[in-house]
Amino acid sequence: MALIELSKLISLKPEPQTTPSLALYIQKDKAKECVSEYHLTPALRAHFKRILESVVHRQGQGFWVQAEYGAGKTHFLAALVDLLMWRELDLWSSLRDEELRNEYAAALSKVKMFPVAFSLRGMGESHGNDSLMRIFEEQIRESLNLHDPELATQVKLTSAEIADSWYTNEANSVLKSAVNTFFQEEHSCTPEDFRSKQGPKKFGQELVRSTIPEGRLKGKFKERFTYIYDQITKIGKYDGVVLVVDEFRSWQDRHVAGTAAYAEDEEILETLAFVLPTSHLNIITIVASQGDMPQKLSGGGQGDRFVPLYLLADKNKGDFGEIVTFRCRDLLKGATTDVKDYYDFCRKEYRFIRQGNVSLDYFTAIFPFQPRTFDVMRRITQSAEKHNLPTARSAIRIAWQALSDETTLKTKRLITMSDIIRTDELLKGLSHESYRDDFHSLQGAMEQLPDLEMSPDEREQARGVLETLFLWVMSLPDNLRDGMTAVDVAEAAWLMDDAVGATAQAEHLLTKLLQGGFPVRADKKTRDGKDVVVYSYETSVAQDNPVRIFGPLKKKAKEEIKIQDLKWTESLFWQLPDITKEAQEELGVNGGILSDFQPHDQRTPQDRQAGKPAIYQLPHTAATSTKRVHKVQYGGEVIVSDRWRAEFGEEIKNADQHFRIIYLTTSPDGGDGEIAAALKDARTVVCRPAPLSADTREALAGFMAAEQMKRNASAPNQTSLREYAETKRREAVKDILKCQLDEFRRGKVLTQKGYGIPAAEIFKFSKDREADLGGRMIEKAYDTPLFSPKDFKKDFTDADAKKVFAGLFHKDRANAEKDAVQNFGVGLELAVKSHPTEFRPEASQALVRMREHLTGRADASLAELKTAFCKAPFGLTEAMVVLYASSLVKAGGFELVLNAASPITLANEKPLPGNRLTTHALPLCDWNAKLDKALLGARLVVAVQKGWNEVLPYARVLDDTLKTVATPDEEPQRDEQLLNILSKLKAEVPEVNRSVTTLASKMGAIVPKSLTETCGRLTGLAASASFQEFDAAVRESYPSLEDFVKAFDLYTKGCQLRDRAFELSQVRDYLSGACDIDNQVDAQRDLTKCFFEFDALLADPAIVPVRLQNFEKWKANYVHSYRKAHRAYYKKLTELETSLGNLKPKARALVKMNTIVELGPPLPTTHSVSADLAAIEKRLYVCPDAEHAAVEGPAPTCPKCSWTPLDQPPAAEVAKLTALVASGLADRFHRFKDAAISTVLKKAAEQGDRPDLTKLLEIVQLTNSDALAGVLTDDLVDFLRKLLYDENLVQEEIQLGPIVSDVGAIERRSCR
Amino acid sequence: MQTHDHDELTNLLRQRTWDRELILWFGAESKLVPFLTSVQVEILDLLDTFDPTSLPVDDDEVRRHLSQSLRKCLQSISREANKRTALLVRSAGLLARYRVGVQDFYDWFCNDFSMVILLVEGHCNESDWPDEVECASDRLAEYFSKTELIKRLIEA
Repeated sequence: MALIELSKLISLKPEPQTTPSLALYIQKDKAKECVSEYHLTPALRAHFKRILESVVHRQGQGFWVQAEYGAGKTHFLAALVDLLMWRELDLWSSLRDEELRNEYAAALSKVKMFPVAFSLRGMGESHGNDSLMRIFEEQIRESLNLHDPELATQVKLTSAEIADSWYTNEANSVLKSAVNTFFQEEHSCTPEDFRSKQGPKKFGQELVRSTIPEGRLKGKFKERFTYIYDQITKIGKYDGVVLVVDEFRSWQDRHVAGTAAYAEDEEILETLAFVLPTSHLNIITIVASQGDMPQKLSGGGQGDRFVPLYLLADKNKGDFGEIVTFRCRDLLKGATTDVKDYYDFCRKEYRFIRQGNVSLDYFTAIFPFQPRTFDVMRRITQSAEKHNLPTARSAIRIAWQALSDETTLKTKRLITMSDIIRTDELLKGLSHESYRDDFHSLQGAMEQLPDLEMSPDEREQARGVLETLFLWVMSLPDNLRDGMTAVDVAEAAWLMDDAVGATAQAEHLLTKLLQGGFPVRADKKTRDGKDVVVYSYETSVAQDNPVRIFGPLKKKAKEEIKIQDLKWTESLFWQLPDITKEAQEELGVNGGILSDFQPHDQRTPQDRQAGKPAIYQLPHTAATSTKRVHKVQYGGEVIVSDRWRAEFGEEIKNADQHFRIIYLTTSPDGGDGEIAAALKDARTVVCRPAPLSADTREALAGFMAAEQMKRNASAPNQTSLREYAETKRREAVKDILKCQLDEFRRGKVLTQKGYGIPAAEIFKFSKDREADLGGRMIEKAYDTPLFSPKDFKKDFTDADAKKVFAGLFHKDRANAEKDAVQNFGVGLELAVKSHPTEFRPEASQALVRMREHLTGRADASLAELKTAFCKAPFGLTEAMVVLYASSLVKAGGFELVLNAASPITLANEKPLPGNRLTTHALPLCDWNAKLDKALLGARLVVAVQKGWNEVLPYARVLDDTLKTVATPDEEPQRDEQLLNILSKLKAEVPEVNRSVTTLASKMGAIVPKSLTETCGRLTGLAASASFQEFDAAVRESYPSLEDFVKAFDLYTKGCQLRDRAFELSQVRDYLSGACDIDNQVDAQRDLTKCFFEFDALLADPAIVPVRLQNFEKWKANYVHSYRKAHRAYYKKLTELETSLGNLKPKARALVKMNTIVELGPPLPTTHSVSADLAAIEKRLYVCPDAEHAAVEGPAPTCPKCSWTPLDQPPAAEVAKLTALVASGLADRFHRFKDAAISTVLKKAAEQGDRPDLTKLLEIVQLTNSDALAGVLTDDLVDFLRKLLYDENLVQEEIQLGPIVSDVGAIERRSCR
Repeated sequence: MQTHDHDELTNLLRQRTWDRELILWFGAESKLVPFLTSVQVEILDLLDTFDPTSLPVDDDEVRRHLSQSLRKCLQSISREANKRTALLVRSAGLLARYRVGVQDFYDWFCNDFSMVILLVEGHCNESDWPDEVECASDRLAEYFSKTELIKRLIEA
């Protein structure tokens, strides 16, 4: 079959642009190019359909397009957006996919979507100012400006725009007023002025700053996007919005999960892809990223939130070759027939068509590439991070560059791996540090090819074989080692030989290469049940025989005794990563025998790299503990040292260390006797190994050799050496771990008293070695514990001590604390079996011992107690000592003075008074880290504060019902009682003081200074917060109890007076107001008054009732006398009133007659008749209680009239008025009787018009003044005056005296 | 971001194609120029995008102006098909100062055959400043590299 050369079948496309920019590709003038260059594989077609279905059905949805770097995400997005956006360009005709075109072109022509497409590449703010929402707003704005400028002017997007719109269209008058105020204050202008000068954007920004429209702006993403969507779709008449975000990975990388920015991203994307579509907003959101979709956005199922669309996923691996080839070449017209020839040829000559089930369509789509070429390209470019090659992008470049080689195009074969290895793009990848060395190795091999004895054609084939094998190995994952059979090589390298066939030719060439020392390796393997030879490119130089290398190294290591010793020491401290899993499982250890006590390794990183032995700082001390003895957790120390030191044997001084274990890493130079003699403390034990045996040194040498071999074989091509060395190392590690036990078993366990502990018992595969050793030491040392271990129900730890503390001393106890008391209270001898939860320390040996220790001393430090009792034979732990010291405090008589530098706060959030932990403070004190700190330097002291019973005599002065206490536990109750009394006193004292002062003032006295002072002091006492404070205060105020009693007695009297103050005050008022009514009664009053002196009553308030009785007796007399006098007075008034009644008509007639001045002037003495009459009438008022004055009450005089004997009846005044009226009337009658007047009157009377005048004349004639009142009316008086006036009869009375004095004496004679 | 050495730049410039390269050159322009002999070089000084007679009044204005002008400039730079071109951007500090970012470079210029090199010249001498002035000499480098705006940072 004759194949046609490639150049006649394909035409090379212009060098492809493989880094499309979304912004560029969605430009109108680029859209056609973008769409026409996009190749839709079946998988990509399915993705397109999935998205276009949502668009056609107007169902909003999110899509997450994920693929590796350079896989074609941007082109995917751009093609999609162009098809949706540029409907007028007829892009569908440019799309090279008939199926898609037929299904969607028509349907999508009816849908008008508003596009927002952008890449996040190059965006981003520093200092955490990234905001996806802000970017969306900006991009929507940009898209509006670009695609729909008219709509852009109407849509409000940003906060500033919305605020501006709000002010113009929505703000009410109140808010506008607020805005006005804001602009006046901030800019000294009106909002309108500002807007016109600065523009709506600035105006909006200022509004946002003012926070006045905050309610409108504060909408979450849902509201904001809905608002934007509504504007775009309603004003712009769009059917929906398509949001496309490219390069999201760069954004994701900056926003780590858990940050606010990440949360915002998630929320925004969820809103767009799920929340809004479920509210029937037709928003299609497409995000492209190399990264995974955030978990939250993946939703619960298909169609929920983001639908993932994977490009170039494994199941779509055929896409890769198709896309790459499509971008590089076009098949010439009619080429498909010749391509089929190629297909048939390959099918006949090679197996890859049948093995790979390669269809003619696929073969055509990727023609002229051998399918394996894409396998290699795909694998090499799949991890951009590793190979520095973007996937499809690099493959397109590689393929294009391979096809652009004219020589290649002149061949009649498929493009193979050896063709692509020379392309710039692949060379770029092979220059990466991951491949550089191996690639150099390949280049070196190529240079040696001319040395092979073969024809130039064969040499060229050999070159292809080497390159094929090399690329194959390079493309494999690190953890996979695989090769190619001769058949594979023949196919992949397109080997041909008409004489022997391709496979035989491949075998021939491979044999030549192997024999020629080329880096080709042949391994026998089984495939499909058949033994085959697999060839691979050996990326390293030929391997040495590991045994030959290891042997000398071990021999050398055996001679290095010093290094062996160092390695021995190092091995003792091996940690889990240092040993093998096998050793761990087999021996049950997690490291060397002393791994728990590893000292600091002082090696530098370089030393470690060089494999130098560890340099440990010895001796090294570490803490340990045991619970093996007395059911108590005892702390101890472990010292690891490379040699014996005398100081190790000294007595254990720290109270928290109950035993000391010394491990010597090597057998000491001195004898065991010397060490034993140096041990001063029975609780110290020394473990030493035997001198290292030959077996141990053998294992150490093996280990050293293995490590050295591993270091030497560090080259990538020395894998087998490294593996061998590692195997040897693993064996050595296990051996050394076994030897460690053997050496210590053969060694000795030394103690002060020669307990004879067998080393073999101690050194076995056990994790409790130190607990066992420590337990053995303590068991013998602590033979007289000051507690009852057998009564412990569990192992006792320091934590348990704290629980017991709370359980015994606190009021509100947690269950765990109650349980702790149950478990340990009896064992600690702080409770008794009959009452296991109560504090009953009577039987405590520890407390007895401690009291003995403190006898005759005012105080002792807690540290001293610890030192005294945390040792043999008592066996207390530090925590126990604290617990017992607290128990002493609780029992009374002692206090713990804490470290003043570490003050503690009680449960009531108050500081501990005086830093003294007293029996009363214990219930409020938590044993926590703060207390531990405060206990450093604490001292147990004899209590200085008095107990209740000592304070009681003073307290009883206030209330004699107060009782003594039997135990300190009762003191709080008594304290409360006293505080109640003091509380009442506090309220009472000021009131007593005020009341007594008022009474004294009323009684004309002053309060004695002693009482005032007492009140003041009592006020101070009443402010006491505890009985101790009361005690201190009262003793300071009163030198003796008697003084306090005396003072309080005075106060009590004051209280009694206060109680009678009202009565006394009334009595005093009555006595003072009582009038002189009777000599005897008056005398008695004065005497009684003397009995009510303030000082006398205060001195003896008991006499108050007697005095009051006296007063009542006097009062009865007084009331009787007063009433009598009162009644007599008003009887007299009544009589006078009667006589005045007769006088009144005459007086009134006189008054009227006096008004007739024509009769002549009235007597001057009668001018005041009217007033006098009124005055007398007033004085003649009679009291309603005249018969029975109400003076039995608080008032000493009649409440109605306040009469006193000083008030007398107006009898004289009545008599005087009677005489006056009589003389006045006589004078008036005389005037009427005057001749001239009489004539006039008679003449008038005769006319008969005025009968009253006639009657008057009769009365005048008879001088009958009694009848005047009935006749002399005002009318008659007026008539008389007129009458007399008309007659010119005016009686004038002229005083002669003045005239005579003026003219001198007139002689009587001359007058005649 | 790791600082790359000159070899990296040399290798990059040797490549036939690039992957949307945007580099920050931290040093004198004169030291950069010798590396660029094999490619076509275009120069853009961001200060030239401003009209001295009508400068924008505030940061927002500057940012908008700079972004728009930059886009226009990038779109107008003529590039021969498949001829490798490096665009040297002077006064690149303005991009940081006005938070313009580098999105436009990626969108409108960087591709297989075009790369952008932002020039940030030299460190300031700290001793020149009074005590009360703190000199953050690497502020610009931080802005571009910490937000991963650029692909490589190369110090002269």
